[in-house]
Amino acid sequence: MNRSTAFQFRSGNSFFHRLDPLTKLAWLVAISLLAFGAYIAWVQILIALAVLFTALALGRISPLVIFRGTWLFGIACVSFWVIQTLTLPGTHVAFTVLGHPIYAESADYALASALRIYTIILSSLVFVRTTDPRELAIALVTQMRVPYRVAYAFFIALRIVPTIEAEIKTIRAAQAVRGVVRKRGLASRIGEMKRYAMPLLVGSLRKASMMVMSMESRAFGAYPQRTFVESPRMTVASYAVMAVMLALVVTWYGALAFGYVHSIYVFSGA
Amino acid sequence: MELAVDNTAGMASLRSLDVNDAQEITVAPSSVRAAMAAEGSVVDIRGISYAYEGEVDPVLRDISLEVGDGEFVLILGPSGCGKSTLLQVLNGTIPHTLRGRLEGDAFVCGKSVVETRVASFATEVGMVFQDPEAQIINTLVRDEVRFGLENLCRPADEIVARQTEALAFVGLDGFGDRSIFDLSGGQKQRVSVAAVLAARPRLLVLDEPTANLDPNGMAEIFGVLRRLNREASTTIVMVEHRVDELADCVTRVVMMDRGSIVFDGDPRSAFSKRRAAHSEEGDAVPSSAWFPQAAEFALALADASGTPAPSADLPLNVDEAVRFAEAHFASGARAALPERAAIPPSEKPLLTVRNLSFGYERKQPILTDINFTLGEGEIVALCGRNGSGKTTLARLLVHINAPPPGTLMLGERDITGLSARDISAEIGYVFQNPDHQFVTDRVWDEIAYGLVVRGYADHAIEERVGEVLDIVDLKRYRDKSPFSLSLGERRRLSVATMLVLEPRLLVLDEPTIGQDHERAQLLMGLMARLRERYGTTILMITHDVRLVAEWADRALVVSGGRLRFDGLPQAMFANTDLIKEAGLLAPPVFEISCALAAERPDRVQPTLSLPHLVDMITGTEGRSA
Amino acid sequence: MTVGMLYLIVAVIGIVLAAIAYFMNRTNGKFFVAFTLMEIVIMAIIGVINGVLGTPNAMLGRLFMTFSGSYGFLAFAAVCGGFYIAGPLCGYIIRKPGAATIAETMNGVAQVLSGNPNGIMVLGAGFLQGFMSDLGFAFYGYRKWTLSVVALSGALAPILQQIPEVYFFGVGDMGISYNMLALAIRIASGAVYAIILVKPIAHALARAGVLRGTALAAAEAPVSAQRSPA
Repeated sequence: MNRSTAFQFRSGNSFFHRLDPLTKLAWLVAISLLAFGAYIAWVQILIALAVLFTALALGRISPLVIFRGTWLFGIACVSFWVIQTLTLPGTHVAFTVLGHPIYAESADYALASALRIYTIILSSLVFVRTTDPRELAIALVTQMRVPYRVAYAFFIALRIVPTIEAEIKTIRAAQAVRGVVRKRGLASRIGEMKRYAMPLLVGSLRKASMMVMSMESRAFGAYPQRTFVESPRMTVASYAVMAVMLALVVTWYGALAFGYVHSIYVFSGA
Repeated sequence: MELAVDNTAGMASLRSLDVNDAQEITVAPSSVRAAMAAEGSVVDIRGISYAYEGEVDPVLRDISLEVGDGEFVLILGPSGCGKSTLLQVLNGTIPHTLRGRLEGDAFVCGKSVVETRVASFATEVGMVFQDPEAQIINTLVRDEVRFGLENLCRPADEIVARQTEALAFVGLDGFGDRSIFDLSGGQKQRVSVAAVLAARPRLLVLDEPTANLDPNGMAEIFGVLRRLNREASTTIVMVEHRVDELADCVTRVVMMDRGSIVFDGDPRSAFSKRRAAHSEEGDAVPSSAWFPQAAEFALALADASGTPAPSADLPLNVDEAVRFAEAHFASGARAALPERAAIPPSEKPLLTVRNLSFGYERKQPILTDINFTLGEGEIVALCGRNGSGKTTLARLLVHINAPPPGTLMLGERDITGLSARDISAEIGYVFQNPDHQFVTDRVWDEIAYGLVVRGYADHAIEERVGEVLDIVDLKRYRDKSPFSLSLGERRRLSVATMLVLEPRLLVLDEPTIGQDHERAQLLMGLMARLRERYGTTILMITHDVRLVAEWADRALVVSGGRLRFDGLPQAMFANTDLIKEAGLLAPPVFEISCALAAERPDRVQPTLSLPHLVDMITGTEGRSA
Repeated sequence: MTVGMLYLIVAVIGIVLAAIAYFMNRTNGKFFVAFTLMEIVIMAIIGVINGVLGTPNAMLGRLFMTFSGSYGFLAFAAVCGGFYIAGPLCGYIIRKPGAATIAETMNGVAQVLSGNPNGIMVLGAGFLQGFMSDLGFAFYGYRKWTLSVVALSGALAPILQQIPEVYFFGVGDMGISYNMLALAIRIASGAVYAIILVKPIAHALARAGVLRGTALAAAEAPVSAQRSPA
């Protein structure tokens, strides 16, 4: 299976690249909150457009990368949209397709729920593409006070993912030479998982003690704290982004709570 | 841990960072002994024994070792002799990280190993290990070099200054912002060295730092170590089996066998006598695998000419060996004997490669227009730098990569027309890491697997597996898990899984990477037996020149995706431009013979065979293998 | 009752279970135990391998859901146990509170890094899975290591994690019985994977000698080296 390389950090100099990781995390959470607020098509369209604008203008992610990273979801969203438009009950018939009535409420709801998935994916793409995972780990230690020993599990994960991926390719080739054939079914799936997992685990864990020795011999764990020569900092821009996102979330949920906006589709209950 | 340290405040003195962890004290302190340890003594170990947690038999037995300031100590011995374990004692990894039972006294830089935490040794002892993939933790070079000092809470400007200094020392100025994934093996290991140098240790401990490198990378590392020892007078203790290039720059050699030190002294006396040694499995193994070839040559020559074994004049490098040989030329002129006649093109080509080009993307061909044949029963070495396309070529043979139709003929059949299963019955591929090939939980099942998936009858399977278990000498482990065997045994098992299908061609992928030369020798011994018994053709991908010189009938050199050479190994080594291009170094025996041949062309011809060279010098015949 | 109510109840159950586990372990000194570096590295490695192996499955599941609509979610639920395995495995090997949580979070990290199309969401999912897996061991005070405890740990994994996923994939509209079925399949899958894989893998690793310094290795009976020199 070809891995999608769109979901990977690429260094750059856009507004979002320069933003500190925690602010970006806050932005991501705020977008999710906004998107999960309610099923109203026009609101979801606004949010989706805003995120798309962020991706293109603030994150300087090329449209091609956005397409490569999200086309599968595009298809999923369209199919959700079509299925739900056709199947959900409603009262106001907007128009009919081949004698099948399409209700205004279901169309609105379906569009909103499809766009919501797309918005979340797109915002994840923006985050992953513009955030150096290393900086995020450092931010966890220096800004969020996560113990650095635990944060280093994150560094190690970062370090070994490419190695493990390369190793999986080799193992697949090695086992193909042995005459292993892939089979369908749950039982053989579990068996397959074990067949790949054992060589990977044994190989990596053999290296683990070397990794531990290498870290400890360089004073890892000597003190409760450690220095980070470079660590991300909050800037004026960070505070501005946070303030804007907070205001949006409060306004949106306030509006929902006081009934200024509401979904035209009402859950029929079960 | 009770020290509260300000992130940015500089510590008064690095040497005073003796943070003892009360919980880890298991042996009563002997502070008197610490004071007694000589001022110049960096390592002072008296009678230590050690067994791993959960194991009964000790790995180290009654070891005593004292190393003075500025020494360069090389530790040698067969795999499983405890040499790596001994290194781990030097900074307290044993007994703190790996636990287990440690008895005896061990002091390093005046501190008791048992009472001092590993982290507190960071400014005194630097450790470098074999595998760059495992010991580099960060993804950027600069972060890796800063790692130790950041842990020591040094101020940021000092860290940056030391980082620049350390990278400059290993010759990597300006590499700070590179990703370690973009570096060559030699560069990665130099980063590892820089990462420990940044803390300015008194003692540098290295565990086979070049085992995963090609000859170029090895030369880079040895160059750095030599400068470190001579110019910065850093004490070095190192386990390494590439002795040819090291023997004349170390000051002392320690040899170990079965957990004990069997020799400790200067290099010339170390190699003046062959020594008994035992493998991990308890079998006797020849010590020649970790003797410098120049010394081996001198010993063989002294034997043959009946002169007493050399000691003070034992040669350790090519120049010394040439001078030594000059004194041993027998009188009486006898014409030089040709060693091996050029092998005529095999009458029955097993595999024919014709106009093979290959690439994953059309614009970037990995291989261009490759042509060669492999004859039945040949042992052929495939050489080339990393990234030259040699592994891709070997993988095309077993259809891991799909070759274009009509380019690969197995006998009379086109490989592209065969199924993966048919090919693997004819061509076996032994991967670099045997673990990758294992698919079952039991040694017996592992060997039987190839037969089972091909639908052999039960009694036939029983018989074949039993036979193969005998050949690779693994019968006593038939019910064990493949993963629980030693590396040498796992490698034999992975050969056995291929062998059971009686392939006509066996491809070995880098049999020496990451393991001792002596294990590779044992593996090649097995290959030679297979060739005798089944007429198996063997293609080995390698840049271990001693292996090529000793075992290969023919060598292929791939460079830049093209086949640059196809002929006798001797002719390959004679072509200096070619071996430079392929990143190889000629074996010492070849260089010695070339130098002698230049002086005495009537007597000596360039050769790769040590016995043959000795025969030419002493004027005897018929002894060459 | 609406689907929202169902998941509210599920969430409450999860929180109550966590509270019970907390009070059971509050006093027995097993609550805050520091990890050694070796354990941290082991958790990272197991989590990452689980994640990298799981990513193609996640893509497959994604594709499945795309083309077979909401029923793909049920089919996908059956193989979900594969995503939960790092938690029970690490819990079983390391035997300290939090091991499953950290391992599963690393699983999430690896999936994000190796291109899981569900993006940053899997990080949260990983944490929730691991947290619930940890509870399975916590109920027995991190003292009992039988097959049933391991199975419980695997079975608990999906309980909180399914909630955001259901809303994310929009299957919340499929009705109560559909959602309960999905949850039941996931729980069963978690238990089955844990039963089949955890113990054999853990003990095979211990026999291979790569778990030195962990609680599991210490619990194994000392063995004489099989290769004592002849």
